[in-house]
Amino acid sequence: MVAFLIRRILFLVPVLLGGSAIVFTLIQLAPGDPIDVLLGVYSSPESRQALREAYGLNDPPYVQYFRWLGHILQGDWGISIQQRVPVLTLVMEKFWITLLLTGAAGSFAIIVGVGAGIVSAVKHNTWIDRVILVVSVFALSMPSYWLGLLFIFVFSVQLGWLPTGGIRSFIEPKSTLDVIEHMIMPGIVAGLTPAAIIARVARAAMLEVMRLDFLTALRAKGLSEGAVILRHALRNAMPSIVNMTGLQIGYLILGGALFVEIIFSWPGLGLEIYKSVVGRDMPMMLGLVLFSTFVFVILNLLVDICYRIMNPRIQSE
Amino acid sequence: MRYLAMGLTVLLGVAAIVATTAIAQTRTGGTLVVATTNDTPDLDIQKYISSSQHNALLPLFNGLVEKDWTADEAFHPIVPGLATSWSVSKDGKTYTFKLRKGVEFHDGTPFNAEAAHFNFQRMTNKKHEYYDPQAGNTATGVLKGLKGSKVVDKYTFQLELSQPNAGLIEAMASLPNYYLHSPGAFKKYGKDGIGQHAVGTGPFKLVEWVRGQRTVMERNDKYWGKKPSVERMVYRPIIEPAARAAALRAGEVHIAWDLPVDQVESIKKDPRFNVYLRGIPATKVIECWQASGPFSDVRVRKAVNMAIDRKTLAEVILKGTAIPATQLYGIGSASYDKTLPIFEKFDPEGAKKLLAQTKYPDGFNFFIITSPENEPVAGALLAYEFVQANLRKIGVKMDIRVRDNAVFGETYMRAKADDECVTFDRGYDTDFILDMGYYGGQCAPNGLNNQCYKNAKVDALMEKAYTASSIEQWRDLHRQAQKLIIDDSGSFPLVHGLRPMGALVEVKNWLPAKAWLQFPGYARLDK
Repeated sequence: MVAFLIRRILFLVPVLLGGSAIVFTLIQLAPGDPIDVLLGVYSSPESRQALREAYGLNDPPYVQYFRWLGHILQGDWGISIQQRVPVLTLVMEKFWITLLLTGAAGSFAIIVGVGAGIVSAVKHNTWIDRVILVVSVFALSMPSYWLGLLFIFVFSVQLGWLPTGGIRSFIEPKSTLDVIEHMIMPGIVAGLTPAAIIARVARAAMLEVMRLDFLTALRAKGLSEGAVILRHALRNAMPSIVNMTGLQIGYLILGGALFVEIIFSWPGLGLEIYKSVVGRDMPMMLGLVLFSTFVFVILNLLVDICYRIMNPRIQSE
Repeated sequence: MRYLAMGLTVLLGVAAIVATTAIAQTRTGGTLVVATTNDTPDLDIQKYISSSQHNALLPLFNGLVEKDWTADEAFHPIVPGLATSWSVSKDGKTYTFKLRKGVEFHDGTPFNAEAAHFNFQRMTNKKHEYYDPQAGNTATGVLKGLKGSKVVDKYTFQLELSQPNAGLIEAMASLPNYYLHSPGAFKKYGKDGIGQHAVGTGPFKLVEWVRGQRTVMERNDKYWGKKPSVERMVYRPIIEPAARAAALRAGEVHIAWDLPVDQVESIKKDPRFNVYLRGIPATKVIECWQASGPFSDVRVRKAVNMAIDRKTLAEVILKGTAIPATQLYGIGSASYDKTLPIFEKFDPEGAKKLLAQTKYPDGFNFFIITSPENEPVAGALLAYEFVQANLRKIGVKMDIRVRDNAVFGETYMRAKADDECVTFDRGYDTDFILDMGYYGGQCAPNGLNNQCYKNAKVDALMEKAYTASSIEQWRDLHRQAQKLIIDDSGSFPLVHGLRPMGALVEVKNWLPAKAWLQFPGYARLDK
């Protein structure tokens, strides 16, 4: 296990280097310039040139990349061109906010996705199975942008149950549940697609396990159906479910919740990625990619560890 | 199965408790919550020339001269700010300001000529300890010839120019990048720290700024001017227009800026809200390269203008959130002339005949680069698709290419292909737009005249305007220049935006400014 961990952590280095180099190249190839965005169209060519010089954007691209890399190795993530604040401070500030949303969306996706998958498998080929399948196809195909607006219209504007967006209220006096109230709708909307994917994977994995003979043997020994499903079938189906869940949560942190963040004005990483791309804020984009890749690789590592714990066959290989 | 049922029950229980708590809460007064369109990247008001940054910071700062954004007039008048009076030297190169006495910045630093000098040195003197290249470029980019500043005595301050500029007061009053920071704050927080600490003299003091989430301000009880009636004001940036409208409908905000076109009518009909359509000095315009190619021929430009049905565009497509363009200046601009007729009479048959006399009797193809996020006049794409259909009828094929802000900026500033155009909501709270977009000596890529429009008579009027003896004369010369540009079909203005804004009926004493800048700080909340 230790050797496995060391190998995976060493593997991080080329992944991070490669990721940052690809993003840097793509930004260089894309049209548009951060200084144009910063100064606006009413600035003079001399002003733009002077600022480009001041921010080191006139240097050749490889000089800019290696300068950035040199600073990263010394723990300096650079300063955001648009916001003039250290990139690391900004990324960490936004990461915790996104983590809140990802936590809500992930919990919703796991509870609903796994639950629906199990029910669907147990009630295979019944009307319940079909309803769950239809709902999951609906959740997969509806853009979160549209769903978000629909939820706001129904639950905020019409019913007045939940706030339309943001992270806290201003007109109402603060309550302890304020942030939770604000998390419910974006959490559900961001969690719906992963929930549907997890439900389909869970259903398929459960159906596969439920065909195996050992479950018949357990039933013959007199075990209740609940115990057979939850203790034995689910446990054997878990590796596939955990694998998919890890990927989905990684996807949410990496900006999968971008549109949800915009619709619900949730000031997290997704919104920051959008703003830095629109503003061609190179240090910010590189910082966000580096950080997101790091989180994604660590999440995958955790999933692999869980996988090995749950599946002794892999451990012995 | 039992565990699953228990889990779902707990989840639903939490949701129910939370929802009940939300409904049970009562509304309190004293805090005005405003849904704005965007947040500022930092708190340094001198660095930017964008209305979203300026709007976010306007309540916290003052300039030497300002505009009265609450005035219900055809345009917002210039009023004294931190300067009580000003005069200009005979050669037009020195402006002397008499400063207001007894004013303090929010941190207790006294305001005087030294404080004003400190701020302008930061923008003009590259050797100054706190010089900021972005603030400097912004300041001198708009105010041609701004050279430096001088302290005459404790309450007399001078600005020095290398060339006369009769529009200086107009620009300084309209653009808050000339508003003043506390010199004490620079010394306390440092050159970079100033972007995280807004310390001005404004009617509100900053309590808290959480990037992208909220700006919380409280009334400055020591304010030298009219004091706000609300105790606190919160700006909440909501980027998505539909979400902004939803926040207003749900009563979470008192005021929502820039409502989406398709929701204006329904919100207007709801007795809980007031909707305002007062106008903004923004004219939606298509600007095409004129140094060569089809648009260098005035007959082609006239034919294109004649083929656009501006009335239907404003009234049907944009659902009355704009009016047909009559000129280049927009509503709220001091030079806007409301007596002018629609820009070019809609006459597709006449357009076809005129086009037949040119090198393009069967029409031609061109494309527009548009960045709707850049355009505050709502419904940009709807408008361009409608124009596209209009032009097809005279054989002109217009391709619409949507690009982000960065690509748009890059396109705007370079020399363009013969068939290349950009779209723009042209205008600002100052009347500088003609200097910026139509002066022949400023042809792109070396200047701001992005379509390379050239007319020697227009240039002569603008040059004369720089040395005008008064702002009125300056405006008059610009109006004359505008007339020539209209006769010349110098661009393709489509509509003047009305900027739909919404507020709960309990918001009293507030009218949106006919401007890009908004100051709702004097609104009153009736419970």
